[in-house]
Amino acid sequence: MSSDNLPRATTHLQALLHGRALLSLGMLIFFSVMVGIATTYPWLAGMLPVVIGVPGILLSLLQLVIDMRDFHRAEGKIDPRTAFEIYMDEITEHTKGQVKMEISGEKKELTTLVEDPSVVGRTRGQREFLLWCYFFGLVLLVLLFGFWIGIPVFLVAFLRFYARESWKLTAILTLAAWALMYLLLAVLLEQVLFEGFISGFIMENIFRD
Amino acid sequence: MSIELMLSSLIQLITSPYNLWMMTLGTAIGLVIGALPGIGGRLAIALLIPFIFGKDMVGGAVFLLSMHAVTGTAGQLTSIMFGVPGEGDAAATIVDGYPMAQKGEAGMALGASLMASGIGGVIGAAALGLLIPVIEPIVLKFSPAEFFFLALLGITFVAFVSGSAIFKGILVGLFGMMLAFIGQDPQTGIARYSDDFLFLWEGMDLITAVLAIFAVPEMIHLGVKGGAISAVSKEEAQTSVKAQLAGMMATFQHMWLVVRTSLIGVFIGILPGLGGSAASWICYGHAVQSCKKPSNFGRGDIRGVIAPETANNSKEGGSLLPTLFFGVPGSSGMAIMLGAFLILGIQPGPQMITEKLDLVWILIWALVVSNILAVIVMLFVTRPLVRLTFVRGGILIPFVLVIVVFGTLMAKGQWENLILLLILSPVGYALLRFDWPRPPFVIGIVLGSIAEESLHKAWALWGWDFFVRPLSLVLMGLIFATIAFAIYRGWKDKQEGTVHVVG
Repeated sequence: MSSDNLPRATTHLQALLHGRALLSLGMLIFFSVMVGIATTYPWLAGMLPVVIGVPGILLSLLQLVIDMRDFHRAEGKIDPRTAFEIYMDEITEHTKGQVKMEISGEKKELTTLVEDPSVVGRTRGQREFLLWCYFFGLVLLVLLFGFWIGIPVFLVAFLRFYARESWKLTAILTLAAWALMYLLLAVLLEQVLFEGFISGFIMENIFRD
Repeated sequence: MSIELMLSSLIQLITSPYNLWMMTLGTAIGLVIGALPGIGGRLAIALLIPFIFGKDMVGGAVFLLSMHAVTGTAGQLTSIMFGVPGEGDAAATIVDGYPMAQKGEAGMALGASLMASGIGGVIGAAALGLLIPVIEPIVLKFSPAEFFFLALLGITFVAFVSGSAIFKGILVGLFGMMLAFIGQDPQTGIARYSDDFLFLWEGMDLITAVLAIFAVPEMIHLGVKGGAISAVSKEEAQTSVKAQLAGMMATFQHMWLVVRTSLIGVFIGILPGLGGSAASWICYGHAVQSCKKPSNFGRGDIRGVIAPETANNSKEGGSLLPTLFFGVPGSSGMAIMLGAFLILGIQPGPQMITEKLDLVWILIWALVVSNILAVIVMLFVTRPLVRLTFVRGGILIPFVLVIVVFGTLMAKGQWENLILLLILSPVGYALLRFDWPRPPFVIGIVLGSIAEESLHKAWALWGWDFFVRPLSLVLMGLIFATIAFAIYRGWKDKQEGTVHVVG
């Protein structure tokens, strides 16, 4: 992104809703709610949350002002992106070649990205969204069907459809990982892991006898 | 204390095939369990207590202690390679260990952490032996008032682990402390911020919080970035035995730091109630604070790996002291160990010095030998594992996420922690995405509850007088000196235009 194309900060609302300020705003809301609740507790129970929460409110307010001020001051002259966003943009802009990256003060070659099929044809935003969906899906699968059923389903889905690996590799990796975990956790360490609401219901009501 | 007794105990340990077998078995199991997030030393003892039923007193104790002593050595493996801490104690190692892996220096980081763990463990055991005659008056000097100020001292290190973003660092530290207040108030018994959610009454689970703030965001980041954990190619990266040896040698180059952090670890281990996570974070903060040019911390500074790892293992020797001689467990792991000792017929108390000093020395030697054994074994195991940092994220991420979910489920055996993981992970990612430092969060959540509990106890015991106890005054002086130093260094860095990035 060149400096000519940088967005201009014009209104307070824009500045407030800018990514960096949003986190400070989130902190402000969090501390305010926590302090508000703490005031309803008896003095002894609520004292420390208030003692810690009030400076939290003041500091997050200060940070919010700093973030908004920085955004206004920028007026398109400096890059409003975070270091993380600049880092990600640099990488995605260079997927077809080698990119010089500065890591801890040393210039190093980054060559691994071009070989990654999970990146091809997906923008940064799409990858971010998909990864969160898969993560939430994993937790949901484990909650509904338990660890031992949820895990292989997630692994197959992720490896085949997100990572775009072959069915053969997907099957081998999933089976190997599942078998290893089962041997180590269920057989050797005798760990009973969460069986899931749906699986638990089925086991309880259908296979009970 | 006779040299004869010390040596005869060592001979008794290494010449008895049974004791040697129990120690080797304990070390091997400890290494496997330590590498699995969520289990850790504490749960490992609980899991294996049935195994020691009916076993010989010495063999059983050696088995459990060896296992517990080395879980930390293996716990750093996932911290460094994937940003997934084995348990709360290993979280501090992520801050510099994971960036080293990203720079293709996983071999060097693992070598350094192994050697640091080994030396820390040996120093911890040596300190245990040396402190036997003088420990009682030292421990008795520390009361809840001093614990409160020690916790505050640890919290002031937030200023050092926040890099250039001190405001943001303090905010994140306060955020962690606020979350530490969730659960039953230790004084009144009121369920704060937890209402009908019974699983929150015991407080927020540390492992779930650490996995959510560090591990999940790192994996999402890896997936968004594409490629492998290591940003440099396999050919350029340092994966050879030579790199591991270089990491080990680096530990000796920072020997003074190793000694200091080991002793801090021992000291914190001795004090019941402060816990292992406090030791590693306080030592990490100390490494940043005592370094002349800390600008590389958080970007893969080897001292950021060495400091928490030495403390992690040295604290085990320290925490065994009050456990064995006063029957007061130095940590939650030692509390379970205490129960196991009783099952084995070992009655902790001052009579351990007068009547069972030979057993004490065997346990000390077991700590030393198992730590050395763990380093040797891990040296061979870690090298092939380093290659995982060059595996494409698309293949690695699902497995690491599965380990994260497993660790969350295992931490307290409650499915509700998965919901916590879902809530906190986006917060961790937002911190990473918007350049907010994350280490202060763990410092806040670890030390917040300790500070509160100690404050209540100290207040109940002495009222306002707890501020003017001699040791309290010394610790308050240290706190003010630390804050003054942080301000001075911040000002100096601003003058020099130095930027620190930690977290």
